[in-house]
Amino acid sequence: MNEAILKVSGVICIVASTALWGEYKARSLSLRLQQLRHFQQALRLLSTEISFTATPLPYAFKSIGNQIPGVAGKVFQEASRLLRERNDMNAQEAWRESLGVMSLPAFLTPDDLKILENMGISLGMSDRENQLKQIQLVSKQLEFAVEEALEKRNSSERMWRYLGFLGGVVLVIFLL
Amino acid sequence: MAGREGLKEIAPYMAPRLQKIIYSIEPDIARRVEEVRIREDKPLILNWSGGEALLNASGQPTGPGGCFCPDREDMNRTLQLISSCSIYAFEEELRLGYLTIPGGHRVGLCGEAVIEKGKIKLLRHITSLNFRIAREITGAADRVVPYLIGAGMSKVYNTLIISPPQAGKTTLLRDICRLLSTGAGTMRERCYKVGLVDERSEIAGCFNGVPQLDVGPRTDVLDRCPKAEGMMMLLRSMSPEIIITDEIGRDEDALAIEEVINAGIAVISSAHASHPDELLLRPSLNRLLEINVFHRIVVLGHSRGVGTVEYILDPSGNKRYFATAGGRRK
Repeated sequence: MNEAILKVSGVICIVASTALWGEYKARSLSLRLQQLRHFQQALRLLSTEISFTATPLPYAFKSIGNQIPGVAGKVFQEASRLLRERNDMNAQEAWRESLGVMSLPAFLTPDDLKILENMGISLGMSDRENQLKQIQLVSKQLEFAVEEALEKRNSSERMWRYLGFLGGVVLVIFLL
Repeated sequence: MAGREGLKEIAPYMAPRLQKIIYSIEPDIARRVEEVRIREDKPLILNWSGGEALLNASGQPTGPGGCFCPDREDMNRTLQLISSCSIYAFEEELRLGYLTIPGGHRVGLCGEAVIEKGKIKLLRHITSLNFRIAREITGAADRVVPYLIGAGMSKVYNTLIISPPQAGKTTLLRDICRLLSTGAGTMRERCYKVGLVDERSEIAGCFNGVPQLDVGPRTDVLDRCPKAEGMMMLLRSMSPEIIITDEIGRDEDALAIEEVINAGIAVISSAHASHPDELLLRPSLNRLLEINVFHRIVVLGHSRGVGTVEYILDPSGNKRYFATAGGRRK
């Protein structure tokens, strides 16, 4: 009797954990998409701040950080803090360091991070026109990344869910 | 404001290597400093009235041999710090060649001018920076102001302050503005509504539109506004009793002053000239003098140090001499 209970609980544990793993993989695709979109929104706000009000970066970043949810908002808040408190850092260094705050909760790929890092190049170092061109370039790259993430989510989200659950079932059959 | 406090205020806006040098300047020199000149690959120089010092890497005065020369990285870092890492937010300032930092200190810039449609669009490749410490001397105008006010204190005379460069025109003008606006001391609490047109942000030293230097509680400041237009704006909208502006000289300034005076508002201004006769050589000022606009001409000089009030001239040509300087002097 006890042995049966143990077996059943074992089966439940294995299937639940692989199903959760599948769910995590599926969700990470959606979350990547969401985070990329947040960065897209943030860049749109940044170009507005630069083109219309010419707000200096520390204040523009702060305002964007307060408006954008999630990890993207946190990155902008951190960059604003660094620019205000660390006078040994230029905008590029502050931006690169602030991208580090999302090392844990982010679902972005190394390629996505590369795009975001590129935004730091010449950040705050040129006139309005060139700043906007640079932001436009990064926005375009983000747009491609969003398209790719959307495609990947649509094609693989369900697959990961099934794979998690069925993988658990297969593992259980194999073990039994 | 003494040079020492000024240096402490401007140092955080310099590259880390330069900051270290500025913080280790001897107090005796720091007290006198008026300007810090930073030029790429050229010696770091402190300037003060009648003197200068080249600094070495530990902040000590030295000869041309052992002096510290800031490099491109120092220039870029400094530029980032004074612009909050946002050059694009200071395009207008880069076009004009200077910007103001908190404390009212001004940073002059030189580099390569970018021209668009025949006009300067901005400066790039900045190779020279000049930190000018704002010199606020409270009380500089204590002895001058009583001569600018008519009997019964109802009228303030139209006044022109003249001096050669760096003799304290702006400092005196700022303190006159403060005293008339505050109504302190000799005026037995009679205070005036003052409109200040500060085209070059030198008088009030505004940062983000907020005066960093004391120009009095009843002073409305139009920062960075062209003088002539600014005077007309104040006249229309702020009902000032006195309009203060500095360095008049263009035809439109003279026309605006005439308008202002016709509206019954007193004008206090300044102009570059070491002697009243020099004013006659400038057509627009000559015209103002011909129609006797100014009832007082305050002549500043260096005879007993910076800010010496040499004499005050009235319309009948009487000179009122001062036994000592009008303001605090070295």
